[in-house]
Amino acid sequence: MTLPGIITMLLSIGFVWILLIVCMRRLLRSEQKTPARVLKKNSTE
Amino acid sequence: MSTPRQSVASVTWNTQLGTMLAVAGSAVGFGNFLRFPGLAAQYGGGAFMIAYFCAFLLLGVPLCWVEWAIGRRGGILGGHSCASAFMLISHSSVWKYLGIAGVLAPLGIGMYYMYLEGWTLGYCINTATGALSLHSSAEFAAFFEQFTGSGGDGAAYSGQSNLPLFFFIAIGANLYLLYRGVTRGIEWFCKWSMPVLLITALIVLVRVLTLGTPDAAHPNRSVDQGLGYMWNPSKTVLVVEGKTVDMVPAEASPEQAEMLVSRVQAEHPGQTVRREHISLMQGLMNPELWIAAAGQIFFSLSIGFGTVLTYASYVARRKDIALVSLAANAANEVVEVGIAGMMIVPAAVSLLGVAAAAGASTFGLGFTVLPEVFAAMPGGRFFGTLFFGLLFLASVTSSISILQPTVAFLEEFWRLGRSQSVVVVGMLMLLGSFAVSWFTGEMMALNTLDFWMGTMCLYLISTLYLSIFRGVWGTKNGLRELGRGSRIALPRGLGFVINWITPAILLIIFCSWLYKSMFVSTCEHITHLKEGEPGAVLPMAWMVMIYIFMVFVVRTSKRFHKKKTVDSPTAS
Repeated sequence: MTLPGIITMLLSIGFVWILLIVCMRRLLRSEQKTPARVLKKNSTE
Repeated sequence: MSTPRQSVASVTWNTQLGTMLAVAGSAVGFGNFLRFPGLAAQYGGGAFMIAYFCAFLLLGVPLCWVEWAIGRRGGILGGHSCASAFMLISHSSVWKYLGIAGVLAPLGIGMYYMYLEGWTLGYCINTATGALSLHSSAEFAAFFEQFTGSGGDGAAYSGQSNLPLFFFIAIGANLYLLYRGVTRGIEWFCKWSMPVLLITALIVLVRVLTLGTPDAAHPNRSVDQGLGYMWNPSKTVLVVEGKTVDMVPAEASPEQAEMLVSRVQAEHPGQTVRREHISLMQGLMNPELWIAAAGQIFFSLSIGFGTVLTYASYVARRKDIALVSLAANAANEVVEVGIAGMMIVPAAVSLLGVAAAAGASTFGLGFTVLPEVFAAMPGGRFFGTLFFGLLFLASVTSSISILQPTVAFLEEFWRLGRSQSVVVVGMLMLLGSFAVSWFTGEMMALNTLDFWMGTMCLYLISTLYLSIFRGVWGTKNGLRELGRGSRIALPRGLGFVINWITPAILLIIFCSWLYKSMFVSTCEHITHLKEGEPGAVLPMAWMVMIYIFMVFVVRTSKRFHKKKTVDSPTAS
C-alpha cells in the first residue's frame, strides 16, 4: 500500500466516522434533553 | 401476546435514535458489503472516492432531505405512503396515481429481497454446520448453483436444496416484524440489530486485518496488497483478455515486476498479458467512474425506495428530521466505507489473490468468492457464520422497511387494521417471491424485477420527488419543513443544489444508463419481455396486476377519494 493510498483511506474513513460522531453527539444530546414522559406520550402503543 | 393496535394516523417513533437506526438499517444492505468494495477497487480507490463523496454531498444528502421533508409533510397531513403524501401536498388526484409507483416499487423489490435473504440465512447456517467447508472454486460455484437453483427453473424446489426452508423463514420473520408495528416491530428490531450488526462487522474486520500474509508460497497475497488494491489512487494491474488477474506491488523493482509478468504469462499460456496503469487524474477524467460513483450513492442510500418517505411520515411535527437524516446517511457510509471498504477486498486478495476480487459481480463476490475466502481463513467457519449472519440482519432491516409503504398504503386508503394489511401484503408478496424463487434459470425473474422495479422505478420516483418538491410544493416551503425543529443549520446553497445540481446529476446518470442499456448493449430485459420468457413476463404481469389493484384501492377509498382536505387528528 502506497502513502497516497493510506492518505486516501484515512481521509475517506475519517470523514465518515467524524460525520457520524458529530451527528450522533448532537442527536443523543437532544434525546437526553427530551423528558422521558414526553417520549412516553409520543408512543401510542 | 397482545395484538399490536396502532392507529395509522397517530403512530410516531418513540425516539429519534430509533428513527435514525431504522433508516440506517433500511439503507445498509447488500450494496454496502458487496457492491461498493468491488466498484471502489475496480476504478482505483482515490479517484473513485473523490467522485463518491461529491455524489454523496450533491446527490445523496439533498435527495434524502427532499424525501424526508415530503414524508414528514405527508405525515402531518395524514398520509403515510407516497400516493397519499403526493396527493395531500399537491391537492391533485393525478399525483396519487403517480405516487402509487412509490408503493409498487418497494413491494416489487421486496419480492426478490426475500429470496436473497433466504440465501444469506442459508449460507450462514451452512457455514456454521460445515456444509460449506469445500476446497476449490468449482466446488463453491457448484454449491451456489445447487443451493440457489440457478441451474434451471424450479431447481430450488427439486429437493436437493434447503433454500425453500430459509426462504420461508425469512418471509415469516419479516411479516411478523411488520405485524408488530412501527415502534414494537421495526424500531425495536433495528434498535438491537444495528448495534449487533456493527459489532459483528468490526469483529470480522479485525480478523481480516490481522491475516497478514496467510500463504508464504504467495507473498503477493497479503492484507497490505489487498488494501493497496482497494485504496491506492495509482496502481499497475496485469490484464488478460480484459480481466484483471494481478497487481504489481507499488514497492516492486522493475526486475520483480518483470518476474511477476512472466509468472502470470506462464499461468495463461497463449494469451497476452497487458500492463495497465490506473492513475488518479486518468480516473477522474473517466465519465464512467463518476456515473458508477453516483449510482452507488443512489442505491446505497435507498433513494427513491419510498421507505424514507414512509418512515419520515411517522416523525412528529416539531421533531428534527435534517439531523436524523444526516446521521442515518453517515451511519450507512461508516458501514460502507469504513468497514466494508476495509474488509471484503483485502480478505479476498490476501487469501485468493487479486483475480478473485477483480471484476466479480455483487452476488459472485458475496456467494462464491467470500465463502471460499472464509473456508481458507483460519477460524473461517466461525467468522463466515458471523459474516453471513450480519448480512442476514442487514437484509432484514432493509426488507421490513421496503414492505412498510405498502402496509401503510392499505391502512390509510382502505382503513384496514395492521394485521389485515400485513396479510394482504403477505399474499401479494408471497406470489411474487414464489415466482422469483421458481424462475431461477439465469436468475431471470430476479434480474427482471431488479431492472424494472429496483432500477427504472427508482429513477422515476426520485424524479417525482424533485418535481413535487420543486415544482408543486415549492423549494422554499420544502426547506422550511426540513428546517422545522432541526438541530443543525441547513447549508445556504441547499435550495440551489436541489433546484439545479441534483436534477442535473440525476438526469446525467439516467441518460447515460439509458444510452448504455438501449444502444451500447441491447437491453436483455426488454428482449426477454418481447420474446415472452415466462420468467420475465409472469413477474411483470403480476406487478401490473398489483398496480391495477392499487388503483382500485385508491379509487374505492372513502378516505382520500372524495375530499382532498385533511382528516387526520394530527393535521395542521
